[in-house]
Amino acid sequence: MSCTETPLVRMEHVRIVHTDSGRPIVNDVSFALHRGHCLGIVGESGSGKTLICRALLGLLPPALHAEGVIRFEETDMLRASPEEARRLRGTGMGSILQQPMTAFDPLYTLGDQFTETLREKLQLNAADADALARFGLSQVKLPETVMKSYPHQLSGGMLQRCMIALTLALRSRLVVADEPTTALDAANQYEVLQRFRRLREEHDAALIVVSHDLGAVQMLADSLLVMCRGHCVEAGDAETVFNAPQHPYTQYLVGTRLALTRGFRRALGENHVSA
Amino acid sequence: MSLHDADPFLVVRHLWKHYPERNRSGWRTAMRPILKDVSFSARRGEILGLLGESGSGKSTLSRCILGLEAPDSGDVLFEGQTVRYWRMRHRGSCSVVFQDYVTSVNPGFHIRDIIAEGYRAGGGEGRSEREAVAALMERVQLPSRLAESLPHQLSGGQLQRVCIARALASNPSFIVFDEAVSALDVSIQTQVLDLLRNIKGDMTYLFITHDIQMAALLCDRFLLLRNGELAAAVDCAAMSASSSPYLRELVNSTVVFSSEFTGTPTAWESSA
Amino acid sequence: MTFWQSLKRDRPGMACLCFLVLVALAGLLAPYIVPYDPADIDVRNKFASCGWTHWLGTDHLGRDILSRLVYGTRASLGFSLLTMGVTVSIGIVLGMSAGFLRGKVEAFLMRLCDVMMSFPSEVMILAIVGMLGPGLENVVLACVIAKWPWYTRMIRTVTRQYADMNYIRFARVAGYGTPYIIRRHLLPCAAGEIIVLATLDTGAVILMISALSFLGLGVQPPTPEWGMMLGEAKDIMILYPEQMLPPGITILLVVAAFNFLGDSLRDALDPWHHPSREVTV
Repeated sequence: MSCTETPLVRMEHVRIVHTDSGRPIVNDVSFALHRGHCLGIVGESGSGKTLICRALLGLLPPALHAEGVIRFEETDMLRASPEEARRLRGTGMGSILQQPMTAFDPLYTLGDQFTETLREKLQLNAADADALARFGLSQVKLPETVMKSYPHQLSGGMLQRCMIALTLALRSRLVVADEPTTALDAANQYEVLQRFRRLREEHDAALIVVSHDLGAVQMLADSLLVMCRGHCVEAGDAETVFNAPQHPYTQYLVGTRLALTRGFRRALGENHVSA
Repeated sequence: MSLHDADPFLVVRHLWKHYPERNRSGWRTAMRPILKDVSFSARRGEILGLLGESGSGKSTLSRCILGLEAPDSGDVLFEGQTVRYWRMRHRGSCSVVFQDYVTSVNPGFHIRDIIAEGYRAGGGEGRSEREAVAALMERVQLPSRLAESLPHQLSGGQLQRVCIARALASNPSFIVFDEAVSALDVSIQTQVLDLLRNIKGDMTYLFITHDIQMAALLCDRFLLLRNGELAAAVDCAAMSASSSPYLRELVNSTVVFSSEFTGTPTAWESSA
Repeated sequence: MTFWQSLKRDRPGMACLCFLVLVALAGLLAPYIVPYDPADIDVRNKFASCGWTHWLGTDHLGRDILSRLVYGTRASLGFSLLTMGVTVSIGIVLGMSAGFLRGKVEAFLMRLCDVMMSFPSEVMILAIVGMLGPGLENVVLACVIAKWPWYTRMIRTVTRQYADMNYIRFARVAGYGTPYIIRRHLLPCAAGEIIVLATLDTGAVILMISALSFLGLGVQPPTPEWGMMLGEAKDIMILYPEQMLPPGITILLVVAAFNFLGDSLRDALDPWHHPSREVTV
């Protein structure tokens, strides 16, 4: 992590506070993320991990505001105008949400929604947008018939891959994925995580993946941020944190996740858990 | 195989269920099979898992077993009696915990009344209702001060514990867990699974899930459901010996977490 | 309860509720509080203006207008509440049967509702009253016939929506019967929406009774009723326009109060609107 180039995303001492009461919800979060790297944010629900992403995207709920420094490339996200933030959300950073069903308009085919987004964000003509959309779908191994489908005709995993295809087509330099696999079945989870991995390796995009499932985060993340009740309790290299958690909360997260896997390992007769 | 058990508790025989398929203008065009000739049985006191992807028909199967929906053909027999008859004869001996804990409780009821509803279903004999509710809350490790709270004041994990307490309250012999832990945080899933194991006693569980790791952790045996058909029945102790290609596929696509961490984590007062 | 607390916090809503309770009490206690018999004719004293003897003056037969207004509450408010009570009861029985039994019962009831709802209700009420003859009972009957399909449909929708809730499924699995489920879960849940719609509609029924009485099809003289008083005042509108004001303003205030109260109830009963439900993060 000792890159000398300027990081793609930099957060310094970010606090997210309730505007009315001044009550802090997220305290003092700092990290830097370089191109082609992946940051995992783990913690239980209510720990503030989603708010960090929304602050970065400039999408905090109106009752909250962020303090500190949030920089995306050259832009100071806390001082950017709403128009600038929206422009960046389209082209610079893409977001993938937990509920793929609500991310698309049920009234239009996916092809319509893809080409419309691409034409608006990248100022393309219809034919180019269509070609680009097809290219994006091929990258996530989806058939082109998806273009003519309505959202309800696809499974959650396929829709999630469509979201990834869209961020690929938009050439997002940063992808923020908030609980991208929580709503998915086990088999779909694996497929979606594979796509994320390729997104990072082949397209040199940076990735922020937020999840309460350490297994999903472990598959992707280089570095890790552990959030507990609005505080960052541990940060560092992902493998180090997973293998030798220091903070009792991280130990608790790792321990409970390991316990969940234990039956599976035992049943398969493997013995990964070194004594 | 298990169809020929000497004394099966639950027998499901040749279950078929179709749903009408509609075209875009809303006309029924065809009947789509959701369950195709599903047969299995569960022994008394067994934890039977039902593993399948979304759309594989596992929720429909659970509704048929609980008697909430009538199958098109086939039987669901508890101790040799049809489910509706058995449920009527033994009130409260059948119970269920759903995935979506938010719609599982009436938002206007206090926690005490939610649990008491289950208690009264079982006849409510023995202790006073107040004592029984307090004992049940202790059994699922809920602080007793929550008895007078409303559902929206509780976290997801706590609310699911309330649902488990309510399911236990009627002293059932059979509980269906329909993705009962899937919506919870992973750290809380482990706690709830431990809880389910601890309270089991001589009850029979049907544990429905999409996560093979959870099935392997809790169940004695699990069934693989794929597109409405039973693909395989797997004994957890001999999972590696199973020859089912679908099981292999599932195992290979499982995201397994690994860590060299060996210490026992201190019990963390959950933030949720 | 939280419902009552949030309603209390809503000042305009509480004001409307108090006003309506006062009006209803005045109607109930009319014989004890009015200064004159509403049917007392005193032709020498007709068209008296407002003053200490007759607070709101007298009408074309010298009857005390205030006394007639207070007695009119019985016909206008009383019978509109009766209408709504009967309509809602029919709606609950039919709507819940349709929502719970589904299948052919539901299909039959819903098609019947569709047919009934495809007539403009004013025209239907006029036709029914025309057939049965004028009179308050016939107006009530006509209003009930015109309104029950709306309530049946609404309650059936609410029933279907809640029948899929997991807590109702649990109650079924636990062995509770349909009557218990309706009493314990469905009615309290549906009560909110029913009360809101019924409150808003009570205003409409008051208008309907008044309008039919204005046309001479509803309440028959000498029984006092707001719409009929308006009708009588209409004949002498050129000479004594102020005669229109007391019944007109009364109708306006009462109907407006019902509408405002309906809005307040909607807010207070909305489960997502509880003050205690904070934004979760």
